[in-house]
Amino acid sequence: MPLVGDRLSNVLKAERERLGLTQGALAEAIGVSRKTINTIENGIFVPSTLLALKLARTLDRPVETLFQIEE
Amino acid sequence: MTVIDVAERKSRARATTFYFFAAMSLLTLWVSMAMPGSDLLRGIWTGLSFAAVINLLPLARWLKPNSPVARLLDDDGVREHRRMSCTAGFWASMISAFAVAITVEEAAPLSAFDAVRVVATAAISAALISFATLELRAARG
Repeated sequence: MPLVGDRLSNVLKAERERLGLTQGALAEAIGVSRKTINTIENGIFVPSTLLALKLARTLDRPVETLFQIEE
Repeated sequence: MTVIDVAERKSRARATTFYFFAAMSLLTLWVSMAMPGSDLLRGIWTGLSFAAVINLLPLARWLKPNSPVARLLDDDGVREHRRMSCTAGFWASMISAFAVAITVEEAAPLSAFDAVRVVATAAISAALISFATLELRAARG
């Protein structure tokens, strides 16, 4: 979990669309529900390290490219 | 229909069921308090509350650990929603417990069983409503 006040932004939607994947297809690829992908993309849910690494592997991008701490 | 679609459909059904359980739990508490001495109503409340609490557990994953749909019904997002809803239930129980304490002190006396029912109903209903709302909000694209 981030520190209080820190916000995590992500480019998950852009990277997913770059590969032509739907939320459902990405969800199926990493074994979570579509709504979990939706909440991550909208910044509502901060994923675990494991889930972040799975996303990075599936989208073929480093984790730090997908997720950044907002300054 | 993919496994993702099936899980999404079941997830929506679960959320709707949770709203129903919360409403029924509150309704049976209210009716049985208005009609004291009815063992039938107390029994219905007890059964409903027990069923609601059981449904808050990740039963599908426990009973079918190898089912892909069961895993999706208890993935990271759902576990986070369950944690948040249990927190909501805890605070609802605290508020209702203080409310019962004040009511008993200042106004009408309440049996120990009725006091427990008020606190439990508040906790269960808050947890169910919170979980269902979080799940349906997350499902909205």
